Formats: sequence, C-alpha cells, structure tokens
Amino acid sequence: MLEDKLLLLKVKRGSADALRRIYEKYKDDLLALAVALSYDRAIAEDVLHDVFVSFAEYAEKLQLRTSLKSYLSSCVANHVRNLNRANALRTAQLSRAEAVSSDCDGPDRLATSAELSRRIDQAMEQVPYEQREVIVLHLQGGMRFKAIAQSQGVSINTIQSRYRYGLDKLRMLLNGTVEK
Amino acid sequence: MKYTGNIESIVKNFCLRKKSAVKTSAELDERIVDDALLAQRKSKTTQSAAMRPNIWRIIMRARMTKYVTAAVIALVIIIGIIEIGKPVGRANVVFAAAMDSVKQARTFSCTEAFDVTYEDGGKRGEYLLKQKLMFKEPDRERREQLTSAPPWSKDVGKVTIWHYGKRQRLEFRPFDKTAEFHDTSSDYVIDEKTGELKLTQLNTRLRDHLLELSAGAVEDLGRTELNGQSVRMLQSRKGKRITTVWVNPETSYPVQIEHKWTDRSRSPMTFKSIQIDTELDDDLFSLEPPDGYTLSVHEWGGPDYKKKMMTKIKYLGLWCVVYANDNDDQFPDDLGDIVKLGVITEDVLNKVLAAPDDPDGPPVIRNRKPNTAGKDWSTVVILYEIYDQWPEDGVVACFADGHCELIANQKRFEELIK
Repeated sequence: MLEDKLLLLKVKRGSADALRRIYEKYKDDLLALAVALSYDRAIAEDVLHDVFVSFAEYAEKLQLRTSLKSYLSSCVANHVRNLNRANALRTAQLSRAEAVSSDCDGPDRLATSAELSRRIDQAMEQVPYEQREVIVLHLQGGMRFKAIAQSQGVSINTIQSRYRYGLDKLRMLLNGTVEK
Repeated sequence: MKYTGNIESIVKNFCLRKKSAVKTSAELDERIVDDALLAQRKSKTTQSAAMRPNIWRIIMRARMTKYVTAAVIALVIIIGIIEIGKPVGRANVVFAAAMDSVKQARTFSCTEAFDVTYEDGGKRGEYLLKQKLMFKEPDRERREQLTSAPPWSKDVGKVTIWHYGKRQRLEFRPFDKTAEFHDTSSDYVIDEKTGELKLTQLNTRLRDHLLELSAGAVEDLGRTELNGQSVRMLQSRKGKRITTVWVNPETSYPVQIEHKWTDRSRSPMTFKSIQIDTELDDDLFSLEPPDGYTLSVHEWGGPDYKKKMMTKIKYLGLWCVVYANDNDDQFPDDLGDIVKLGVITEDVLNKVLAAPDDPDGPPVIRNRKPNTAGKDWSTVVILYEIYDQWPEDGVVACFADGHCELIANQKRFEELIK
C-alpha cells in the first residue's frame, strides 16, 4: 500500500520508471479481470491499454480514496461496462475465454476441475452483468464491497445484494446443469 | 447429482485459477507502456499554469514563536504595505531600470538576511536569519535555510520546494536525512485585498517589493567594488529608512539591496547575491528527495471546509499576535481593533469572519481575549470557530502563539476556553 502510494507520487512527479513499475505490478491481474468481465481477450487487451494510458495521462490530478489496485480494477470494470453498454461486446463465446490452467493438478483432478470450470464458466455467462461484475471484482480482484460501491457510486447494500443474487443464480444454474 | 458445495469458495477457486492463466504478451506490454509514457509526457507539457503562494503562507508555515512571527509580519509591513502606491520622485534612470528588471524576472534568486528574535521554553534570543530564496515562474519555488536559532539547529540546510501547479511540496533535512512530501491540494490563503479564500500560489511579492523601493529620492553614489565586481551604488531614502542598491552596470540588474534605519531601532535587512533571469536548473525544483533520504508522505486528512476555516482563523490570529506584540502582550478586546492597525480593512475583516461557503454571511469566528500572564501561549485560545452543536469533525481554534489546531475532542476544547 505504501509502496503504491510512493509509486503514485513518483508518477505524479513524472517518473517513467514508476509508471512502468505500476504497470508491471498489476498488468496480469487487470488483464485477467478484463477477460473475466468481457469474455474476450482482444477486448480485454484494449481495455488494459486504455486504462493505463488514461491513468498515465491523469495521474497528476488523481486523488485516491482506495488502494491503487482497487482504483485500477474499478477503472477496468467501468471500462468494460461502458463497452458493454455501447454493445461493443460481442456475444460471449466460451471458446474465446481464457483456457483454465490446471496443469498443476493430477490427471483425475484435472478432468474434474476442467469440467467444473467449464460449467462455472457457462453459468457465469448467464449471470446478469452487474452481478457478475461484483463477483469477479470481489473474488478475483480482491476488492472489498465498500470499494466496489464507491467506484460504482451505489450503496454497499446494493453491491452486497448483487453479490448475493449472483451467487444464488450461480448455485441454481450449476445445480440445474448437473441435474441434466 | 445435486451440487451442494460452498458456492462462494468454488467460484473463488475458479476465478483464481482463471486469473493465474492470464498473462500479457511482450508485444502488448510494449504497446501499452509506450503509449502510457507518451500520454504521461504529453500531460506534463500541457499541465496548467500555476498558482502563487503568499507571504502569509510562509509565515504560517514556519516554526516561530509569537515574537518571530511578529517580526516577520513587521518586515512585511515595512517593505510592503507602507511602500505601496508611492510615486517615483526624481528617480534615477539606472535605478528604475534595475528595479524594472526585477519586475520582469522570470527567475529570481537571492539570499536574504535579517535579525529575528525567538523564544523557546521561556528563553528568548536573537539570531541572524539567512535563507536562500529562488523561484521560477510560473509555479516553482525553493527556500533553503542557511541559519537557525540555536534550539532548532537541526534545521540548518533544510530545503523546501513548492510546485504550485502540482499542488505538492517537498521538504528535506540534511541533518537526519529525512524528507517529507506534502499534498497541498487544500492549502488556501486569504487574498489581502478582498478577504477571499484562494488556493496558494507562487509568491512573487519579494520581487515586487524590490520594485517598490524605487519610490523616493535616488542618489547616485558612483562606482565601487562588491565581491570583486565593479558595481554602481545607488541610494534612496524614505523617512528613517535608507535603501542602498548595488547595480551591475552592464546588465542594470541589482546584485545586492540593503535596508538600514537611521534611528537604529530596526536591524538592517539585506538581499545578497541577487540573480535575475539566470538559468535555474529544473533539478533545483525537483520534487524527488535526494538519494539516501527517508521519505514520509503527508496529506491533509480532514475536510476541506476545516482547512478553509483554519486558513481564515490563522490569518486573523496572526494579526492578533501582532496587535499583542505592540500592546504589552494584550490581545484585542474586539477584532475591530486589528483594523486600527491599518493593515486590514473592515470589509476584509468581515469577509474573513464569514463562513467559507457564505462569504457575505454572519461571522463564524469568535474572538476571545485571554489572560496570558504566566501561561504558555501555545495553550491559550484566542480565536475559535462558532458552533451550535459540537461538529463531528471538531472545531478550529487559534492559539496565542499563532498556531492553529482542529480540536476533535469537545472536552479538551471546553477546558481550553474555560
């Protein structure tokens, strides 16, 4: 946290090294977030690009109220949401989503895990975007509900409700899928 | 089979596995970093022109006792307010040209020196304050402390750099190799002419004061030598004050200015090594602490409204200190008394007394004439914010030594104003 604060201060003072370090530190997490939200690697890369360029441009005026990571994660989510609203996202195709890496698991577990991942992936796609966004930001991005609420300008209760409804929907979808 | 596991932890594991599988490519990294750096450079070149500071900010920032504070304020009055608006008499052309060059300066640097008194734990003393000042328009300022009162000798060599465009300030102290980085987004100042609050900005008043010295008679004392350099010496007199200006005959720029008073009631004040429009390296104004320094970051954590109130109360508090200094340590019965000092108009006073968000409204600051006899002035409240119910963020108060505090604890505040 303090390291981020110092890095941000250096960026504000025009340090190119600090900007590079921030990018290196968060690029993979943010790209993964964008992929999880957009279901499209190409769009996710564009989102990561736009978020960082915009961050570099306006860093001087930036007044952070959350952690830098939360801020950047929110930017990614907002960007994807804007694209979503503009119908820029194509219909999600699971085949386009990132393959799940399970190479650390044994063969049996790999099969089970890959199957489960495929089902969750399918289910996630059917969860309304607003709910999926909260789930991904919280469980994958590690953001607190309060920070998500602040970044979206809604109450923490709304965010918690979206999260709860999203998980309920997932549970229902997963059970339905398995029962088939 | 019915799925019955903990959905939250299952989804979390799923998300984390997906996360670990996604990596950026080298090409993507290169594209993003290149574009981001370009945007950063572009943003730097188009950043807004800056704001300027004010002499009050400098006074308020300094660690000074009432006497030192008062001495500095007195100097401001001497070289500033008294001079304003006086026409040039038979001004010498060279003198006028020299002063004009000061006004035109885009960069300015000098070393100022004057005697100040200080008080530390009831002990009073005097020392020659020397500091190197420089600025680069539109928004950079640097101040280096060359001497210090004995109790604060650790501050010798301390450098403070302001970047008013970025709203940032860096202080670093060679003694213990510590550096402080301050966010100055909420640093305000009172406009002395209107009483309105405005953001701090680059202070060019010293330069303007020097120009104002062109008022009064000018006498050409001929050529002389100063530090091995051939210079022309000019003098002006105004009442008891004699101002001597050493001018470089080739550039017509002043290189040294000295004030002396004929009644010796005041110590001389000098501005040496004056440099105008010389190249001042950007590194001198860098907000990057030197290598090996321990950096701490400081931000005003309170509400903006309270910072504005603090600026207003501090402004009035300093005039109260000046008043007390001139009246046997008696603080004004009424804030109208400071109008009689001739340094603030009634309109300005009313504006400052009003709430930041209601500049034409009723006063929100209360004066308290304290009994300071035998008390530590840093614990005696002289002004405070009026309230009906105790505010959640606390109350701003000014103390007899000129410092201000945002007091969050109601009991403590009530104890202070008993």
